[in-house]
Amino acid sequence: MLDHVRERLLDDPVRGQVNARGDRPALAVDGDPDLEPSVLDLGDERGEIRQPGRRARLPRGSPSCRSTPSRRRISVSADRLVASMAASACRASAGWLSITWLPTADWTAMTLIECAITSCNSRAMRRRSSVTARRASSSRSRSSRSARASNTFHPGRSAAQHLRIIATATGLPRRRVDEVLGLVGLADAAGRRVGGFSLGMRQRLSLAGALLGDPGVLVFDEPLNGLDPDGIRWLRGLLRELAAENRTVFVSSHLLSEVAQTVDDVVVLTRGRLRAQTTLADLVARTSVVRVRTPDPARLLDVLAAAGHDVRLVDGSTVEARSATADAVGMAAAAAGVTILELSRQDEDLESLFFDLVHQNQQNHQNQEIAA
Amino acid sequence: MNGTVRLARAEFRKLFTTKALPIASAISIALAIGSVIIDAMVAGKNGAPRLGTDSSTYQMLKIGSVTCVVLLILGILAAGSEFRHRTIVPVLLATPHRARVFAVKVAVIAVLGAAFSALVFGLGLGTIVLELSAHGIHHLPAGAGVLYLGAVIASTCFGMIGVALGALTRNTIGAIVAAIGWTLFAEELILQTVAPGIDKWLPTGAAIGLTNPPARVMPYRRRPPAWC
Repeated sequence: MLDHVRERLLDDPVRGQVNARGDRPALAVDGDPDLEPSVLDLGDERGEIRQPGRRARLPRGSPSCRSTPSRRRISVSADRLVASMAASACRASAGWLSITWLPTADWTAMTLIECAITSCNSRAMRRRSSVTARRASSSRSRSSRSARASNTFHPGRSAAQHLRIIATATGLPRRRVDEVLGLVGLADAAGRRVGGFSLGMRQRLSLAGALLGDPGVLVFDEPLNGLDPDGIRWLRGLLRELAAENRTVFVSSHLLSEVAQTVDDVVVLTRGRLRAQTTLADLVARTSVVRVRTPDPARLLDVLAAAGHDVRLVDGSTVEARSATADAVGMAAAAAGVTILELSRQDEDLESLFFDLVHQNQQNHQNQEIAA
Repeated sequence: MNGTVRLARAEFRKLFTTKALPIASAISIALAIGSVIIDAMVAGKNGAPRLGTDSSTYQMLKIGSVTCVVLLILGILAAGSEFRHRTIVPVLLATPHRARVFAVKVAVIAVLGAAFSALVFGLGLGTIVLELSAHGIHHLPAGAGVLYLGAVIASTCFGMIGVALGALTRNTIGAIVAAIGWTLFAEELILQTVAPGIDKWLPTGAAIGLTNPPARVMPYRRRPPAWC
């Protein structure tokens, strides 16, 4: 089945154009040092593969797309922790389910098929889960195996029983159950009924289920929900450890402040479009500003503008420079003999960045509709 | 190991790790043994056949209906609770073949149903033998073996019907109420009176044909199934 899908993808002329442009393989699951993540410029749709007026040729049993789908490649190396942020939970989850769906022939890339899913009804979600699992269970090597955490349990079963059932169904050894229970800190609660578990313990059990098969790619949907501060810190560390073990970890979350403390890379999806895929550090660096308080703002404005910086006057004594480092601004001011009373770099938080991207996308969408 | 075998093992593990099976077993065994003891106690009184006659023994052997209803409910719980607790998600994540998952579930319930009904009927039959032996009677009617087999077949089929109902309705309570309502009221009371020609072809009619003694032995039986 998957071979068939791969062949069809490789035959895809649109996809062929993208490959001809020299794009790197999208998901380096084996951690090849030559395959570094590519970076999309904000607002740039490079890398988007769109087929106007054409429905995706999806494998049998796949979710039906109710409008024209668009394909995008997400470029992420192994040992990276990636956050997915989307305007709605449905889209974020749908996006990730799709990511684990279509691998390339050599399992080094995955293509995100973002379908315009108009509702998040349970039937559609079930079908998507099924498709994702087909991809997951078809993989033989750890590098190409993926797992999506599922936090649904029978309340009458114990944690160990729940995991043993999964292990039996997937042909995994029983010792893995004890190992993952220990890994997620539930060894002491292995015999307790899941019905009595707190939300945080359920999250841990969900994580244990995802780790049973020792997957190379992990996909988590809102893993921080319900965790207490200790649990959040613990999960942050665990996700980092998992990424350090040469895995790729996707985290779909709306807790942006938490995401900002955890991840390496960020993928932003809005209205079914990939708005940004970049490293968190790069995203913050691009949008950080340097604020300078000076008794002579007019002169400093001229100096910094002459140096090629994007500057503006904030108030009577403060100048703001975008796309500039604090060092560069300080050196330019010193060279011009401008007195500086205060100089600071102000990073925009991830939440603001996210909303900037979302609003930018919405504005573009409205403009397109008006033009149409 | 073959994926289907693994799935079957997981399904058995599921059945044995919830309270439904022990509770169902306890209820079935209690009803089977209890009904035999009560039938033995009332035998020969108020016009009931005398203990030791074929009619009396056949009356005591009507245990199959208990296992049919219990297996119907177990089947509904086995399939419906997967949707109720959304445990179908990890199941399909592990084995992303919906048809295979439900085929295995039906097969597992069929195997379990056969073993379960054989055990319960066997216990009931053992109680009858003990009861008759206590009264110096040492023979069973010739049709006892056929009833045993009929009870096993009917219970197995009802378990499979239960899985189908649970998977279709995805609502355990609704499916159980509907199934019991259909079996005991719609078919037994309404259709039997309104449309007896149709009733004899339906599941309960078939189960009665398999679990009740032949009409020549118990002529007071209300209706034969279509093939009798």
